[in-house]
Amino acid sequence: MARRLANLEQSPRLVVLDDGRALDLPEMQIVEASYGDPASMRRALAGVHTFLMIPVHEAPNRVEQHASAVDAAVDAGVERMVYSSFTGAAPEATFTFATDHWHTEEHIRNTELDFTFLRCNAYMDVLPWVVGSDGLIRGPAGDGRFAVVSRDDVADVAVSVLLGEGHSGVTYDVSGPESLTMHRAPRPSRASPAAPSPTTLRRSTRRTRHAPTTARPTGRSKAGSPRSRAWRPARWT
Amino acid sequence: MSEAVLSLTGYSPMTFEEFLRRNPESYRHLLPD
Repeated sequence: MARRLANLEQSPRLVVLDDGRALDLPEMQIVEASYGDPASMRRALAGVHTFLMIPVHEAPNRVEQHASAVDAAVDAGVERMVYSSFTGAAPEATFTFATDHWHTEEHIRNTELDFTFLRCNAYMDVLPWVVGSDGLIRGPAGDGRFAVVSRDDVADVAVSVLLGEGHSGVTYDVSGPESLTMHRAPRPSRASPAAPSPTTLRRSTRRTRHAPTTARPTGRSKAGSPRSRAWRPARWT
Repeated sequence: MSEAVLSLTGYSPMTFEEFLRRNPESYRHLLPD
């Protein structure tokens, strides 16, 4: 985002937790602050018209941190907020992160801020990292479908919204072009990184699911409750 | 799936295959040594 805006001769202010880890770009203002520290956020956002709010990492008090940042933005005189939310954000969503995002959206809706929500799908950049070193994918994906989107595309969308007009009060679903399942994601390999072969997943046992990641799964399946199932890509190489 | 990327940027969103092709470092940790 910062590089894109700099390339467009914009001069955004980067609000960061640690300025030692921030990009060092010319004409870029860097200010340290924390969403959970309203005073630091008010200082960081003073004089800012538009605030692109990126969620904090998952935490039990994530919504509270977001609400604190939103309130600080209002106090600082911010007029417009673009919030990076999540697909399917809803109060009754099964996916807990989606409920966090909905409550954050709702907090923003209840202010006087002009807002735009970017409800992004899961990041494809993260997908290879959900596979453990033992080849197991641990998660409640089942047969669920998703449309992963690249962070590059999300950044371009955000820049378009930040610098464009006509986005007031609009919620965008930002997804990739394919409906995938964990069963049928392209599998990377050294020889052919994007071979379109399906990844075959199979159930493994509860013992495997809870074993240390260095353990080798048996691949044998026993009948069990959904909670006892883990999914193992047959081949990722 | 949505049209947001296309409508807001003018290009189609990246496929997962394309992402893997462009970013081989993203799955290097999954490959044998």
